[in-house]
Amino acid sequence: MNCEKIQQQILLNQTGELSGQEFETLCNHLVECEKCRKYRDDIEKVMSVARTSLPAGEPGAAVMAGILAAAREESNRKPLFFTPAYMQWAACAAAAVFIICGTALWSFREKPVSAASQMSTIAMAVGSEEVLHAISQSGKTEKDQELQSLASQLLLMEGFIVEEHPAEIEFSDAVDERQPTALQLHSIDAFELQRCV
Amino acid sequence: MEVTDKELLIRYRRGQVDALEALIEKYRRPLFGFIINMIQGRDEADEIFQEVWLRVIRKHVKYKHGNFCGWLVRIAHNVIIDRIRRRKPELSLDEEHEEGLSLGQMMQSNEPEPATRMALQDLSVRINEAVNVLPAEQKEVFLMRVQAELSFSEIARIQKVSINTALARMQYALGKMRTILSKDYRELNEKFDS
Repeated sequence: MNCEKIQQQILLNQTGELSGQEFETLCNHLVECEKCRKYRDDIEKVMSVARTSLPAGEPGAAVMAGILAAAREESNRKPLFFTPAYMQWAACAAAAVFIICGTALWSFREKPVSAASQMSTIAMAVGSEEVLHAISQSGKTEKDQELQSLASQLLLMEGFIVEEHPAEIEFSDAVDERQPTALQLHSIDAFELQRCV
Repeated sequence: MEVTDKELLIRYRRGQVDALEALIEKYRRPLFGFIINMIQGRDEADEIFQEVWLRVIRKHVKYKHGNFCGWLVRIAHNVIIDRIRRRKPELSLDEEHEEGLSLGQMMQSNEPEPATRMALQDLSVRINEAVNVLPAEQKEVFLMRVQAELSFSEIARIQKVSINTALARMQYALGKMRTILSKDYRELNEKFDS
């Protein structure tokens, strides 16, 4: 390592800004290099004498009194709690609470029941595995028309009578398993229908 | 157990003005020493010292951690630059003007006072003079290191330069001072050995 670099390291060593390895390199160099040793001794003397020789002085009493008066005035003028830093933290905390609450409410909201889900409920209510399978296939596309057609088949098969305009059948948001009344239908006991035939 | 600077500042934030007084007392000498050697005018040094602490009072929330003295010196550095710019807009600390002098040098009194002239034989006065002929940036690094005892990483941060630049400025400053003081080395060695 060259002497110029070592002289920088001598300065850094004074402030404790050298790594262990750099310190070791510096020590090894100083053992061998008289020029750098002299530089180190010289600058230590210059800095030591400068530290004691340069004018230090003290600020006037009026200056000190003025600063303390300003400090008291500032301290009395506003409640220290409402400093900008506290305000910033409070705003951040409020925003975080708002986001957390909003996320929680959104995740726990009442989710709309899909048409496929409603149809599955009806199919389960009447116990048709065939229709359930059909719904699970068509449910991927969520096409209401297909589902309405399936609903009609199901209801006819199981002894229900669908009104004349199946296209106008509307699915409600929530379907009670025990009351598939959302499909405006008339329930006729299948056994009775078979008996009529 | 000694109270840290941060604890004192927190106490001041809670309304205890005596905590700030303790901080002022602690850093009065290094801060004022740095300012008066940068400015070389007692009245102006007083004004800058006051301005530094008024900024601390107004902006104490900006201090997070680190060397409090370094923060004070940084504020002092900014106040000094503001004052120089207010006098001579768009000029830097090191830019040379009349007779090849920088603004930093122009701020100092060129003519030594009679009493000072008589005391030129004194070693400390010669050291003072040696410091004052340094270019402002080098002088500032030297004073930050010697008076405020800042590390080179702090000095580099204040001057907004790399640590290598700060080190190079210190090397130039010390080199020039070694040259200026070479005649006094015998006296310097005697003073040191005694």
